[in-house]
Amino acid sequence: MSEFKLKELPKQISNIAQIYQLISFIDEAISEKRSVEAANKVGMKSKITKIELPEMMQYFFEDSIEWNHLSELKKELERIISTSPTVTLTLSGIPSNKLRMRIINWLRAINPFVLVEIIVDSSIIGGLIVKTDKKRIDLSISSLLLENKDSLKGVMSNV
Amino acid sequence: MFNLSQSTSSNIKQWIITLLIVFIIFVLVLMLTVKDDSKANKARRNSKNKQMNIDPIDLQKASEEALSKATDQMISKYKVQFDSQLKMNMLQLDQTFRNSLESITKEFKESLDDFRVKSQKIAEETQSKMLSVSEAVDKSTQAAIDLKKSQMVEKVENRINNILVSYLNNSLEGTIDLNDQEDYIFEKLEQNKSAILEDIKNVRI
Repeated sequence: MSEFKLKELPKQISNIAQIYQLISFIDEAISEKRSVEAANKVGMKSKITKIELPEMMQYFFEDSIEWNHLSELKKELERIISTSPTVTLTLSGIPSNKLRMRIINWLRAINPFVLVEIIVDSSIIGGLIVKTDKKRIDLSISSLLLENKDSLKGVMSNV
Repeated sequence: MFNLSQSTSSNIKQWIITLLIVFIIFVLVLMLTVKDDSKANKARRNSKNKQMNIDPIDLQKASEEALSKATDQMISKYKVQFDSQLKMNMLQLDQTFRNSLESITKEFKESLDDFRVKSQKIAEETQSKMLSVSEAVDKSTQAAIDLKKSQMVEKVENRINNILVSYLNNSLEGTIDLNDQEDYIFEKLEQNKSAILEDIKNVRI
């Protein structure tokens, strides 16, 4: 039985909701496997002869994961929920998958287990607002306009 | 011996008695002499009065008159003295009064002058203070007016700026494509990397 240890969170998993969803899938898969195994044990004829790992697991972890890793994976994911920092990004529109992955990669380069929440707020016009557990860094265009509204003095006279 | 002393004692007694008798006789003689002498004096006075033909009653009247005259003389003498003393006192009193009046007048004048000087000084000081207060009030009022003016101007400018920003927000909202912002977003992230890193780097699983 090989030991399973997460080196980083899969890129496809960015936020806490996805982790909870993954844990739910793991529970379902384990439960299903136990049911099949129990049925086989008592001699019930089951249609399932070979139990495959859920596709989602394959998608996230490719071939590096096996059935016996699921319990440890669940513990790892629960630990990530309780200990990993969360960065909330506010953008002016829904990001493309490319942009989303680029942002996640940029943040995971700092901490491979960081969770990323993306919120869309069109009123910021452009740029972004970065919010961590301790800070809020406003890099939005609307704030930029408000901060530099003094530079707008005299604009009206030219209108 | 005894006999001798007894005889001596009786002798002494006899001598004492004799001396007493002599003494008594002397006293009687003396009394008689004094009585005779007073009688003689009285007789002598009567005889003298009789010689001057003065009646005792007249004498008494005369003495009373003399006494009355002497009293009158004394009264008139003291009256003159009293009058002169009174005059002198009146003069002194008048002088004292004049002196006092002069002194009081002088003091009053000095006080009045002093009061006038002080009043003038107080008036000048009050005027000076009023001037300075007036200047301060003018300055304060001007400052308040200036402040109010600048606040109003600032308020108007802020309102105009807010309207402008709001207008820009409404106009630009949703018009800038997020993909076009990619470079700007990563530029800003890189600029603030240290601040972001500080919060998320230390947490390890």
